[in-house]
Amino acid sequence: MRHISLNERYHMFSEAASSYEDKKLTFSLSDDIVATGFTASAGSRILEGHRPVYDSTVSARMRAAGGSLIGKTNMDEFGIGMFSVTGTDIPKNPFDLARSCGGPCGGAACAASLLDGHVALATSAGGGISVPASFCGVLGLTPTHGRISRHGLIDSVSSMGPIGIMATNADLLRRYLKVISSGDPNDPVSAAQPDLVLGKSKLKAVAVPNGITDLVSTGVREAFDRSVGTLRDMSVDVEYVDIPELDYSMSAHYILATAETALNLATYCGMRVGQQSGDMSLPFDDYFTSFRTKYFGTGVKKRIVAGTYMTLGDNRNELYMRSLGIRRLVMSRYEEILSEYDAILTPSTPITAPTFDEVSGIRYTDEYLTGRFAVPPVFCGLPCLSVPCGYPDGVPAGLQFTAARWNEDVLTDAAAAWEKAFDIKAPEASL
Amino acid sequence: MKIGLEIHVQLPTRSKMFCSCPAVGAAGPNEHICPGCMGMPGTKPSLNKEAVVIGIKIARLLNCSVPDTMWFNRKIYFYPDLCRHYQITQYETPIAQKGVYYLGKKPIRITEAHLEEDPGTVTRSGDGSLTDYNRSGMPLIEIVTEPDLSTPAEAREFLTALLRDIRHVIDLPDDGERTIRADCNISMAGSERCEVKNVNGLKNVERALTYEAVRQTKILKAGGKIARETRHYDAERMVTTSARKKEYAGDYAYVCDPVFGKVDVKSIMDGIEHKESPKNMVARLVSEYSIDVRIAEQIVNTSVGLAELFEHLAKNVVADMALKWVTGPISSSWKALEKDVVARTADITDIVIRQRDGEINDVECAMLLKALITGKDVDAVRKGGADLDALIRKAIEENPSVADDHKKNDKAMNRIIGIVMRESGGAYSSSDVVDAAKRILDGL
Amino acid sequence: MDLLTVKRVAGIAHIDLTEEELKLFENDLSEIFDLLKAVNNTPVEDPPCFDPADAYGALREDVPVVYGNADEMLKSMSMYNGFVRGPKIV
Repeated sequence: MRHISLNERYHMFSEAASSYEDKKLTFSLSDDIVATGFTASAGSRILEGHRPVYDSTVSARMRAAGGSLIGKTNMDEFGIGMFSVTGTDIPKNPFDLARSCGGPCGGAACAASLLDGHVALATSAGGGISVPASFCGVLGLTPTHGRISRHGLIDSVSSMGPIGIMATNADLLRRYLKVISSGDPNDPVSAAQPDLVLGKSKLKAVAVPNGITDLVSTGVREAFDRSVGTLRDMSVDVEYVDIPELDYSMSAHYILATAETALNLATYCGMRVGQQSGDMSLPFDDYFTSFRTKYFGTGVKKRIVAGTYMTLGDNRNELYMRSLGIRRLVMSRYEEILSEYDAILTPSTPITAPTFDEVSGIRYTDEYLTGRFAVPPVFCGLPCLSVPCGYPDGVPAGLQFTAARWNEDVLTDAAAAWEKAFDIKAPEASL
Repeated sequence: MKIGLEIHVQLPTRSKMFCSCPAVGAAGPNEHICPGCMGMPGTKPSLNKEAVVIGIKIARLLNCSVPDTMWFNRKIYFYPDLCRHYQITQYETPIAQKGVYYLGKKPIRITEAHLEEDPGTVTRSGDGSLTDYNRSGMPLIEIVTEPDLSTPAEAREFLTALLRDIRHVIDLPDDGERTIRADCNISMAGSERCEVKNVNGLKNVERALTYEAVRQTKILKAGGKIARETRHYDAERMVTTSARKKEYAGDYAYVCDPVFGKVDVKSIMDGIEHKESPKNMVARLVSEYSIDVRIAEQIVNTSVGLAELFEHLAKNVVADMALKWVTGPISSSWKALEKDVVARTADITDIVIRQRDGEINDVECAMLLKALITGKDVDAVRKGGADLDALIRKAIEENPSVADDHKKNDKAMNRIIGIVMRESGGAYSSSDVVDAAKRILDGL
Repeated sequence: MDLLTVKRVAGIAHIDLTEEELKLFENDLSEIFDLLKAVNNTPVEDPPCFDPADAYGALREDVPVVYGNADEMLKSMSMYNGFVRGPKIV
């Protein structure tokens, strides 16, 4: 089948269904979302071969709506990374095989881009949905934190990163957002959400943070500036405002994300799940250490070490608790701006998809800052949308709209309006 | 000597704390488990409301303040019995904060009490370990006291009183499935403290603390120093031993648990009926009915049900009269009445009112109460009473010196009681025999 | 973060690092900690936000349900007589 031949070339799936019924909607899940009948390793060797005994809520809902799960998509190990190069396999960019798909869920963006009418569900932690959607030239919707049940999502970060949707058109986003939304008793936070009502509001006014294009590559800047013109042509009011608080997000996000990761990944130790063959006559500390040392990748280890440090002794107050206070401040500022504007407009990423050569030489901090636009909304639990907005040097650049909490309807409206005003290109996929 | 306790009490919920698995009654190891309490990747905990309700009741008992909003934390701890290697517990917002519990007149300050989950049970086996996760995710409350206890005996006394109150307030069954464990901190004046971890049961708490007190005193007398450390109690050998020094001690990470959000404690609290603790009931009976504190204690300790019957009668007749019947014939037949006291309260009240109104005399009233409580008919009670009287008179006739001795010494009548009990072959309760013997001897 | 701190913290996290990893982590984490210094001068607001949904999560009623698929779940674990096997405890 086509998805299997494409996979041989683009490596988007960690595991692909051998076949599926024609005419059915096909969907995929990033490898950290569990589904019966498929392995779920979250891109990590420590969970290699793990076969979950239950279905995630999103998987169950998509299947109940007639969807056919055709594969688990490759991702950065435990969702930690911006380029999808740290997982069990490396997906290749549909616009240029030598380039990254973005991360953490590059395989999902790749599948959404290459397969007709496909819905790719993926986690939005870290680089969010926006980074891979932007790099692969598809639409990516990140719902409000608490909108989509995370039951069955193998999360490394718990307070951020709802499950999001990637697809090639606005209609798919809207339809399947409805399918997977609504409360789930297995995820108590999702059960507290207000109803999802689509079609109640329109995109009329957006705010652009002053100085935002000083931080991006020339190609991205040109695409962004042209997009502002397009929006004005669509009679959307675009205004430039000062929002320095958004810059606070990156440091505080790193602290919270690593701290939560250190806790969440403590579970994986060579017992009960995943890799389990080791010498049980070792004292438990040594036994656990041996598995974590052998099977976690470098990027994950780095996060765990950083995150453990964030909560040690005095650091807990000075770094961890302080970051929770910073998050509240940034959320308040967002709320203030979003009470005046329907959305905040930024590029999705400061660069377009880098080549794998460029990725291998990138500095740790620069890699992290690839998420400087994608991270703040996720950090504050706000919904956002990435749409393609240009093709500098033949690869896609992305435009990101961030809306107020629970206002996904602004974003689905923006997506529908944008795809009419801007000519979204499909990659020339070759088998 | 200063002693502080951290007491772990398993809460009597029907399901576990963060998943729906049954809390008790597993027939074998690893039967009451699910992906949630096994920490399977992707599962999310969902909090059992009843655990919060019980937590609030205990907070009230400990005179603690309860936060309007609380949340949980994750505490990292690598050990085979903890399925996620972090425990869901409370750090910033314990459900009970700063309280006090009175041991007699002595205040024992309560630092806080927090809700948390129990890990599974792990045992050594050959060259590895074996774990049963049936207990994994059972709700616990950990009560932390200030070091206000002065002796091991006092610690035991405190625990006994506290647990009796807790059992009453939260209806904790004494079925052995839910255990009580304590970590005991003890230090000598001016010296470092040691913590004895995971001591099971009241007796062992006193034993472990006594052992530690003696050990620490010996070291100090010999001019040594006490090292601050964690120790284990070996219940079989009745000694404490130094725990292996934990490389990572003090390096716990507490991260707020965002998965089930905040808990609106205030709205839950508003919907709870609070049960009075036995200790608070004694204090109230004393002030409300002007009765002696020892008598109030005696009634409440016999049973809270008996005390409730007393209150009911006191409201229908007067306190003195209610006290006379409750401490007299009713309490002497309490065992027979205990199970259906509620159903019989109205009948008992009728009889006591008839006595107050002069319709029946004291003797008849006592007989009617007895008949009602024991389910025998009045004639049988009367006859039984007559037979008992005859037996006692016969015994006194055969031991004439007793009548004189009785005037000087209360214990003299024990001889008569012994004879009657033996001869009647247990047909009468000892309290009946004592009452009758006393009545007859006093009247001679 | 200096080398000794990296080593100590990795120990707490139950991870052994090779000499190479130690050097890499020291370098990368020092770099990122320069970025993190900003939090010291960043204003904060109360109450601290640990859950951006700011939700009062739904509570579960106390109704026990026996999970029907425990055996299937245990199949992927190392078992002995119904117990889950694990490393030596001290």
